[in-house]
Amino acid sequence: MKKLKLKKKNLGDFINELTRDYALYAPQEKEGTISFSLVEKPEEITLDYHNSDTSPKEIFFPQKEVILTYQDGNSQPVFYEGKPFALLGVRPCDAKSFQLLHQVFSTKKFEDPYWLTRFKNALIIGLACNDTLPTCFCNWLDGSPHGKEGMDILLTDLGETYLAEAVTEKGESLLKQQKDWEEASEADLKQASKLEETALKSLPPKIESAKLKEKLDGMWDDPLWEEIAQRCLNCGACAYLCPTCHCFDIQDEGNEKNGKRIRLWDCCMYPLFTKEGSGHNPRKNPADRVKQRFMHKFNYIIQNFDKYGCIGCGRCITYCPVNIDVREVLKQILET
Amino acid sequence: MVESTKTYIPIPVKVSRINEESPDRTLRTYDLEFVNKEDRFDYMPGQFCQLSIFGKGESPLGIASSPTETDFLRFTVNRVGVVTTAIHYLEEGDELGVRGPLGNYYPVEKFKGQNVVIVSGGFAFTTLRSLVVYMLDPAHRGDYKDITVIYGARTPDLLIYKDELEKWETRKDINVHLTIDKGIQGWKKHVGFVPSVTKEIAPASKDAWVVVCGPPIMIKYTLPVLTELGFPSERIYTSLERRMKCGIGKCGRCNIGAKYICLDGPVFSLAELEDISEPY
Ligand SMILES: Cc1cc2nc3c(=O)[nH]c(=O)nc-3n(C[C@H](O)[C@H](O)[C@H](O)COP(=O)(O)OP(=O)(O)OC[C@H]3O[C@@H](n4cnc5c(N)ncnc54)[C@H](O)[C@@H]3O)c2cc1C
Ligand code: SF4
Ligand code: SF4
Ligand code: FES
Repeated sequence: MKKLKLKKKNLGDFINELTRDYALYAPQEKEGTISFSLVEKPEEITLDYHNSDTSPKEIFFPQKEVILTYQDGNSQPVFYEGKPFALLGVRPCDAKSFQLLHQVFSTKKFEDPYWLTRFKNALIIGLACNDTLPTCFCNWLDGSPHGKEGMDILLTDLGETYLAEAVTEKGESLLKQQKDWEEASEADLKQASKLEETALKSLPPKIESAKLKEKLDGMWDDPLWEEIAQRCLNCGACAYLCPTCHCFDIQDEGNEKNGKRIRLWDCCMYPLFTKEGSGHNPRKNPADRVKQRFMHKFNYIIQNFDKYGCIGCGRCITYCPVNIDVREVLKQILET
Repeated sequence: MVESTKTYIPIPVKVSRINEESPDRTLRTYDLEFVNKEDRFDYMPGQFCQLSIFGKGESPLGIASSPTETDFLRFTVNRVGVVTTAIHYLEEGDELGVRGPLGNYYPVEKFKGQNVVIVSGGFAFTTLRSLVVYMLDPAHRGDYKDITVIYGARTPDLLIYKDELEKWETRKDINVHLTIDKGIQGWKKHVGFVPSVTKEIAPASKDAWVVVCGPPIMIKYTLPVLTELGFPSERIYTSLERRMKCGIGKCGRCNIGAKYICLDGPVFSLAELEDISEPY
């Protein structure tokens, strides 16, 4: 696979090239929040960032999405029809989350056409983390600050240039078109692996993550859930920011003749999530819901998709109003 | 895989017949016809559909007709909230949408050559009617040995499909035991709750499979009776419910443990459920 170098001063040209063929999304700061937004001009983007506050999953799985429109009893699906998406500057943890969501939305008997339409032809250009955050723990969950899983191309910031490594055929063919990019030298590759080593060292020491699933098998009645639930506000911030959460609600907007059916992110921390028509609620206590969140990420998803349901991005740690720290919870699980 | 672009699109159907099941007007049975004949789908007893009323939403409902009844789809709807109330406002000839068939089904293949016992309470009898009609069909009846139905409700009014039950009671190829919670004048059948009547009737567990569906409390007290009668948990089946949205294992709403009721269920054996910590 090709390993080239993109001079930072030529980044603008590359971005302009991408915007011709793709709907390009890259990190942009707006009112103090960094999110992946549609790029019109190269100046809008910032690659000098730790991670986006919101998860880039929202490009392929929008928070609110029309799935069909109806008129007089007939309905039509509504699919994204724009240019294929390209994401530039995706962090390795988030790129991994796309792989998990893709498994959820495309396997087990049914395909989700809305996810597939958006995700199938997307180009993912990742950006390695040289500088991690105190809340990062991708190394606990099969990830790495320079991980390539889920990317077509990985960029690594080498100072004056980006090292650009093709990961997939799609990435390779894009790099082949970059006639004026230099080949990366041995020294460049060595510098990149040094940077990876430094980044890895800055992460918290690993825990025995492989034991989490089995531990949780035996923790249904553990007091830990009640303990966490005592503090948790059931606000759902953790789920809305989480790159792997995929739960949604379906609602109709309109009258019986005309309108649309939409889907919206939903959250297992809310009591109404499981409340049935009869009034019965199988998860009526906050502790039931806290348990669902951790069981889903660190036990059920592993059973169903053979992957962790968390990528260690740390967003839920940063934004939880009562400082519930998933890393502390994982340690407590291993200690029981 | 199902043709993906249609995954969430309801198929248009028309109400061909409505039957009021209970005098308090909370339970109605709807027979539906496909507006376009080519939309007709095959299904098995135990599967469910999402019934869709545009502007209101969708509700998962068990299919009460049998695949052998090819000219209609039947659902019995208890009026509880927004969508089920909207369904209750429908009249013959009105159109609505249906998405399905969804979920797995009763293991009719495993039942072959065996006795089948059906235990039910209240309006949960819907998909069990499908199963009974399927097994009684001349094309299938020979595949099964004795068929026993134990079915109860609070009052005689609340037993659904009364006309059909009466017909089954006169047949030789099915044993029907009906019960009501408290005796009333003129009732000559069983009196008592489903679990105790099951104990009284004591269907033989040898070479037999049992399907039990009803309110959670009925299930809770019936399971120990079945175990006592010698049914191993591998041969006890039930059907579960959860608040559902997608019905296809994506929206994350209906899991018990690592299983999705809409995808891996709604039909589970007790043995499968015993392996899951989350209460069902
Ligand atoms: C597999 C399966 C098979 C079933 N089979 C049958 C059957 O054969 N017959 C039958 O009658 N029923 C059946 N049910 C139950 C049936 O699906 C529910 O009773 C029905 O969906 C209720 O829908 P509703 O819109 O009428 O109620 P809702 O309007 O949803 O109201 C019910 C309750 O849900 C809450 N609620 C309302 N809106 C929301 C919201 N937006 N978000 C969160 N909570 C809300 C409210 O607290 C309300 O009290 C089955 C269920 C399943 C899962
Ligand atoms: S659970 Fe928290 S750390 Fe894990 S992926 Fe979700 S937001 Fe990131
Ligand atoms: S963000 Fe914190 S308080 Fe809010 S639901 Fe998540 S764990 Fe609970
Ligand atoms: S109803 Fe959506 S996952 Fe089961």
